[in-house]
Amino acid sequence: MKNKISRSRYLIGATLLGMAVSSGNTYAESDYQALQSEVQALRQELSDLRALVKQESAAQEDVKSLRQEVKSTSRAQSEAVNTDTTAHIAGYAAVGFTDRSESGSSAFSKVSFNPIFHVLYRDIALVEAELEIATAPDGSTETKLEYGAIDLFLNDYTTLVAGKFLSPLGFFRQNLHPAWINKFPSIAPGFGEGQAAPSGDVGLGVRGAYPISEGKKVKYAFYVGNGPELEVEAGEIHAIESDGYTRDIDRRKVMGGRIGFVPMPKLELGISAAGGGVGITGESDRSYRVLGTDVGYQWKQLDLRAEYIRQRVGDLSTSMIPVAYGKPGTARHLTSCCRRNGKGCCATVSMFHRSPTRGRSNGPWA
Amino acid sequence: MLKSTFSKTSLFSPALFLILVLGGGAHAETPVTTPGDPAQFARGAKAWANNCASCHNLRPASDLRDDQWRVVVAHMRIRADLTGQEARDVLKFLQESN
Repeated sequence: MKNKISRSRYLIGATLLGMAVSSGNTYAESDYQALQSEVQALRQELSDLRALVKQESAAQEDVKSLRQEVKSTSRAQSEAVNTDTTAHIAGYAAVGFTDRSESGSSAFSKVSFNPIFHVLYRDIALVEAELEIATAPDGSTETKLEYGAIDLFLNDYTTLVAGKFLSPLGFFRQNLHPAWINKFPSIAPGFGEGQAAPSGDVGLGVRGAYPISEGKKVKYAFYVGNGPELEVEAGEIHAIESDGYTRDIDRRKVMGGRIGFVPMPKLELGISAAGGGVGITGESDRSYRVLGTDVGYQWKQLDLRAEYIRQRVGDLSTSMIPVAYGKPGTARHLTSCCRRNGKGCCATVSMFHRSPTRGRSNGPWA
Repeated sequence: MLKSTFSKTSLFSPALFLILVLGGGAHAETPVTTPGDPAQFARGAKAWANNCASCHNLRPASDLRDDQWRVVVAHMRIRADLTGQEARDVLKFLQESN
């Protein structure tokens, strides 16, 4: 019996040990698994943190380089703003095609490049020049100074202009003739170079504006210049060339100007007049007169303009060269432009009238 | 007749130039913008809309840098016959909008 009890004790002890050992093994495995998953999560977290740190250091690099860029830009900007002299180059290029399919001579008729240079010295003086580099019909290259002037800002209302400038007579030639300005690609008949409206002159002038009241002002431009020259072709006076010459054949200066009245914003009325001498080498002077008027109004998306200008050359009884045109040119044009969202389309209706007094009837404006 | 008219004109012209220059000079001291003038921006926007669009499309301020606008506005002051004050207002508007 005692042996049985002893055996039972042994068995119970072994069972308890076995249970204890078996229970101890179960706890260690689940803990291991939990630890393993925790380590896995920590690894993932560490990997994420590493990526984040890497990103942040890249962002810091970006911020550093941006700071450097801002610093250098602001220094450049500050230098640009504070400098006494500022230069600027602008310009435009134009390519044209003329369709004359009926006469069989359609061609790419215009290639030009017009760089424009501006140099501003403080708010005292501006030097400006526009070159025109163009291909002539025969393939040669023509280079021309469209204008080159020194502008001295005398005060808020007056600027002194010296050099070669666009003619201040009328509105179209001085403001709307560049190829980049919205209008029909071709210049309105009568307003091209050497036609009814004078193109430019070499001399001295004053221009500016004077405010009258809110939204109202008077604009003015007066000049004295060498004036135009007469172009003689086949023994006749063929045209009045006003490209701006540094000689004065007739020895009489041309004086004139334009007065513009702005009675309300976006409406402008102008009158132009000039007078002086024009001549041909070896002859006495002839009288030269210009008279013009213009009006412009912007109404909503429409830009309405009308202009009338006329140049007249006097007769010279002693001349051997007859006048082909007593009134070399009278030009009128009406331009309307539509603008919407910065894009424009314009239509120009022009009327050009010549009044030949004697000589041939065909002329440069035919 | 015509010749005598122009001779008279030539006598008057130097006087006219003198009057314009001196007359303008007399007004040189009038409206000067006070620093930080809050109305200048609004005046500039108005002058920009009223004057620039009379010949060409309005160009946004972002087209040029601030220093470039200085030169361009000086050029346009002459071309569009802006007063000095209008030019400064337009410049302020363009630079502030840039």
